[in-house]
Amino acid sequence: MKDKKLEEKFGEYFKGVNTPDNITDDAKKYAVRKRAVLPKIVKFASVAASFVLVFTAALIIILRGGITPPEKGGDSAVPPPALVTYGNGELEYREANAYAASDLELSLYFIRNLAVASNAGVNEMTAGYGADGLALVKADACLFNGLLRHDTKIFVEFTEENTVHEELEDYRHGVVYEYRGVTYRLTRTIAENGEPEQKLYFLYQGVKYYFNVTSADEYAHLRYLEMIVK
Amino acid sequence: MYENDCEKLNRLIIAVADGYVDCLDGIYEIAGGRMLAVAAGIAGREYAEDVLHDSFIKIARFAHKYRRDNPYGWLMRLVKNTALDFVRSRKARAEVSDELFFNLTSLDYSPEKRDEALELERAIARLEPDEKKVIYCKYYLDMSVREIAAANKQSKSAVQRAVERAERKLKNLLDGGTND
Repeated sequence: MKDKKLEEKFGEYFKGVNTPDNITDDAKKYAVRKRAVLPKIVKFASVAASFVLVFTAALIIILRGGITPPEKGGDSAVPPPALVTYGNGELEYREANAYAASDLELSLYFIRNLAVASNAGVNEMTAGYGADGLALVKADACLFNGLLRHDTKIFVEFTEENTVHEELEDYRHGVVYEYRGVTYRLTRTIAENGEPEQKLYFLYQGVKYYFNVTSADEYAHLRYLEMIVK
Repeated sequence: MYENDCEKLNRLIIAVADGYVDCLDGIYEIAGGRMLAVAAGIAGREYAEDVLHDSFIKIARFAHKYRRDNPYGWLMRLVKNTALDFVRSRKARAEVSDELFFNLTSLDYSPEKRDEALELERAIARLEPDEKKVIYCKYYLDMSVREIAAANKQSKSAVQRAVERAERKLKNLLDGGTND
């Protein structure tokens, strides 16, 4: 922990230097969008899989008769259950490979799909282990839905239903909605960059999913429900 | 103010990793002065600009490897290593001089901030060499006590004590104390 007064002094000290111009110009030629390097066969397979997925999704949409499932009502009066929280100090974090996410737990297969998809990427993934084994998985993803970009923080929690990581507690206080029989909670805010931010929480097949989605798409959270709730 | 800068830097480095090249300017705006100080201290004033130039190319190329925990630490480590590489590439021996790190007013410096900067430099000049070193590690390179201890092969508690002593002495000097 730095001394606040000295920190401010040094901050001002560094800002007083008149830095030379045009330092970053050449560097701009080197910045490239991060892309996953995949073997050609995997790329081909992912393209083929994308086609199958698109056709399947299109068929499902046609059969269900809508593109965005309507979000009815929302009940803010439903109180969250009493929660027991835990923190990072109780977990041991290890790096995890997003391409092999389902090796950790089958319910993480959607992260692997995001990592492989041509319109998405998973920048970083870590797995937190508690005394009883895998407790929390964190991943940062970025995906494009048409022309809309989602910056998404993903948390998948494997603890008891009412045991929640302290950083995720506020997800459990959102407005209650329902999607295909699954109850979910949604908190809408505005991110620092001015875009809508949605905090989504739901429990599905004994696993707790949390998504923090920053996107101009105000229904972005539904994409993640669609991805997991079958 | 620092927290805000830190968060901004964090977002900017991530954005560079995503291909938003103009975010390099934001990084330079926030951290350029400190980067220049580290570059000048290692490679010398005359080469500091070249080191900064090369450092930004590395930032652009390796931003995707940034782990989002300590943006200043990541940037300063990158500048330090670039400066050391630069010195070695010129077949020179890296002779790091503490004095250059703490003498930014000898560079092109803002006249409005000069008095306050000189006051800080005079106070630092009165520190012992080991005290200057921990101040440099902590306030320039953003190293944690654990990292300083590992780099200097010292115990964490010894480093913690040295840091506290140096900070106390520097604050006292800035407050007009003599510390004699």
